[in-house]
Amino acid sequence: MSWLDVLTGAFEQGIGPTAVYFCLAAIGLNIHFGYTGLLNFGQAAFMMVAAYCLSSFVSTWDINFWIGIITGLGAAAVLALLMGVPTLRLRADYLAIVTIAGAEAIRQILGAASLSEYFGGQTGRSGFVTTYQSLNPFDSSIGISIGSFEVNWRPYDFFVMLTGWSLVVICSVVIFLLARSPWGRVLKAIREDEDAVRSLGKNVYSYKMQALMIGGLIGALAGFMSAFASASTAPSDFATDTTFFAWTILLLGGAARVLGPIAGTIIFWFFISGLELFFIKATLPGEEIIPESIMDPNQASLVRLIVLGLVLMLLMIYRPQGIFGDRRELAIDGR
Amino acid sequence: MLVSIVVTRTRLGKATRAVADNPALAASSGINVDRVVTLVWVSGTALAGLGGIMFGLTQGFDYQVGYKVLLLMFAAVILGGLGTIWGVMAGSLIVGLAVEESALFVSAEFKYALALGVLIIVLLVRPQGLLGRRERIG
Repeated sequence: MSWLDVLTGAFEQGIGPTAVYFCLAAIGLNIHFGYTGLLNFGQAAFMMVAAYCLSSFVSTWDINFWIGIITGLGAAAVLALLMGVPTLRLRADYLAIVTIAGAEAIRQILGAASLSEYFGGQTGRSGFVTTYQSLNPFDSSIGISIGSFEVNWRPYDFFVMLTGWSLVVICSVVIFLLARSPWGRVLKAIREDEDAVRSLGKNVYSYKMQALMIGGLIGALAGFMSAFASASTAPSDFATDTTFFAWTILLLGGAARVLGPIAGTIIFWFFISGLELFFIKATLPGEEIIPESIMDPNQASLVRLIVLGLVLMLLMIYRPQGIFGDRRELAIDGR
Repeated sequence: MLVSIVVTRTRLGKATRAVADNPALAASSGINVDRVVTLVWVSGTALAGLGGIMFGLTQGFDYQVGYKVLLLMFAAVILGGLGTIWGVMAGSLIVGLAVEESALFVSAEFKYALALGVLIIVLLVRPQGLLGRRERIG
């Protein structure tokens, strides 16, 4: 077994195309939860409507790619309105219920066999990335090599990463500026004490709605990147665990920190793919380090999820604010 | 019904509702907040487990069963009203009947969407649910 393979493989995934869209999703959640204190358990829904708008517009109805992007963003904003209007006046848990339920219901509708003509049923839609591909300036694989440490990405993957991380940088700068503005201070104040903000004459409902929409729009960007990364959209890409991975990343990196989601993403994907590679290699028949009676090759890729659960529990017990978070700032619900 | 009696009549039930309303105030009047939270958490999950057993006995299940019933349960609880036991019973009956009957009119694939529709309409029109009290929803 070669440790170098594990390391390079983990690095490749750590900043790879999949990591990029989870990073964007977590940045969206950071606005919701980190700054405003909204519990959005349906980030996958925002990603889903945006990705499906793009994919079905282009591949079902043959409409221009850029119109697909714009309607995707619009659809995410409408979804934010739809979920926000009934719930943002109520206690925080109502939004959590409606978002998690909404995400699952939208996924059921998009995956329905009777609508497969438009959305492709369980297999989803593909073949909508030609416009995006034509923008790709790279034609040979691109990578980093330092001595024997060598990582390579396919040209398309590298292009996805480049667009994705550029979007991450843009979003982070925007959030950094927003959070310092008077508007951002109102959001943080809402997170700490809603009634106090209301007594100062601010319209809490409208601020929450704006935060929900901005986070949802960043979620829509994440949806586009996820559609580009796999060159397809399928209902299984946007299951509830997508949302929960984004939450894990946010909590790992530290909520209410601009760099929290970015650091969280890289660490999360580096470790989760490193663990997978390690367990696969450690159980490889013939040269196993872990005896088969404990773990066989089929179980190897699932064990990482068990380790992930353990890490998350330890994180909540010993460092609930995340790696870069500030404990004083995130004393949400501190009893 | 047993749960309803426990929550509304006993000391523990009173303590639970006090914690839900205002944890800081409950703690200062001598309620052990952490103990109440643990107890409620444990008994709540135990009830969910009982529900799981009954579901399995009547319908059979796979590993995705949780996601399938989650939405219907949320719709039932919201329709009945969070914080009421009787309301939740009524809500579950109504949602259960509505969802199964809806198969007569629309494809069975959309019954979850229907539950979501119920959820949003109830929250818009009567956010406290059928039997809930307005002051509890914040």
